Amino acid sequence: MIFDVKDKVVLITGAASGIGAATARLAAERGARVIATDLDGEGIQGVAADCQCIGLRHDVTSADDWDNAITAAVHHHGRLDALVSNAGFVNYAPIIDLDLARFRKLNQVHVEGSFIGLQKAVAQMRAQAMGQPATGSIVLTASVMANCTAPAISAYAVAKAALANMARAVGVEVGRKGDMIRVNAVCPGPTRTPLLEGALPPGAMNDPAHWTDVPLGVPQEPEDIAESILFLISGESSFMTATQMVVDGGWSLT
Amino acid sequence: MTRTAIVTGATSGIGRATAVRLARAGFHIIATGRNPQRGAETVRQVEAAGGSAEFHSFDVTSESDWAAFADNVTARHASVDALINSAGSFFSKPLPDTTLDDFRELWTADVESVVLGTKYGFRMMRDTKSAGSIVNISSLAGLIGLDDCAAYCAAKAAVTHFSRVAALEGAQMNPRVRVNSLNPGVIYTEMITGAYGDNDAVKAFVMDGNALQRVGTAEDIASAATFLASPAARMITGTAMLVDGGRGAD
Repeated sequence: MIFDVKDKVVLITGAASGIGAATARLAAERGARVIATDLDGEGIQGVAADCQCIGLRHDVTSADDWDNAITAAVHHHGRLDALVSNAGFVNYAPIIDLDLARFRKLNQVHVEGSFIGLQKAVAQMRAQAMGQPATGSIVLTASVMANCTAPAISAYAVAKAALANMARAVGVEVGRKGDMIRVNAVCPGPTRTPLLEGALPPGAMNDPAHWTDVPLGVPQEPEDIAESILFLISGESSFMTATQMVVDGGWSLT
Repeated sequence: MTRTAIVTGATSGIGRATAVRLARAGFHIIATGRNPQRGAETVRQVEAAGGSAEFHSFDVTSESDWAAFADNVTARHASVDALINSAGSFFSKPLPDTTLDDFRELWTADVESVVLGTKYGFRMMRDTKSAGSIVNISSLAGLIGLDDCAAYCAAKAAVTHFSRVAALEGAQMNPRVRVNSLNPGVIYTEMITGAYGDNDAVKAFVMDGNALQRVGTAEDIASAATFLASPAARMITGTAMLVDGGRGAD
């Protein structure tokens, strides 16, 4: 039942932990050629060692760092087949306490980071196409917070909504241009990551009483999101573009 | 233990392609449809793909047929791991020309079939203690409008939302059952060629509406259905999975 990603050259940002690390591990296990990047230049080396892949320090708000990451993919593997723009962080603050600098930083990392990545990845996918329609798959990690919300999370909800519609807008644009480059967003619900662990009361992650709002009764594991991302990278989703794939155990249903 | 998948409407188009794809993923296929000759061809294609299949001919809009089918399946199979409710119908007609009988016939074929399928799917999964996955084939037309297709759009919107609510019920079962709708864009199958014709002009119309400049195939939908049926999607429930080549996005 594996959806084939063998030999695909996949760049994954925010890959030192959480969903990004799980995606890198699963992709590597299934034979993809992974370039794993993260702002945490030390942490990414651990994942790279596990995956026997390239690990790079990468500030996604830096165009130079993006060039460096894509150059590494092309230098080592000859091309770029997929980008998983996953780097991000969360900020909890009621609106009246929300610091403008923090709001800007959050949008800079999520929205500007993915914007630069999309530009560079689409350019590379077109450049390597040798006159044929360009192919490739780009997945942006958004969130169910793109379409619903919770208290004290407005900055994150804004950034994730922007990402979801960025996937839609760019997906339509590159498709209509004649490329076979696909752009989709994955929208995870609450997932067992260091990001969420840090925000929950101690013990809540493993306490069923904390997850009664999730119809399936448990948080997502990072591997659950990784599976959806890999499906979106695989050729079996080649008619999917500009969509949002929700993986939330039914959390957003009610 | 062999996993088992039921596919309704498996005698053509998306249903048949899904039966073949699920068989390649290791499922034993229980194919259903109205036409035994076409059913035999689906079984042949599943076997040619290295799988195993059986065919049952019954009317998916008949509750007594579903009840008898469910008894038969649970008596002979240890688990029911996936159910793909793919059987459905389509017509295009301006509303002033659409009769109430037209509307009812489509509603029965597209909505009642899915309601009964989900009901008996729950029962079969409950009786075999299966953590199953139900995939209801809806349509992009259940999310956005399509000219001269008011009845079809209404029916597919019903399928989409019914699936969301059924997902809440399925989540309370033990073991839990997942329910999702799968919403294809315009896919080049007999359903479309039967209504509009099978020629280059129709193909061009189908393709031009897509952001991706190609025609959607039954295999595209079969892959997505197989993903939703698989453990890879074990935390996906209550969603409407859109596979439309970007048709609905602009």
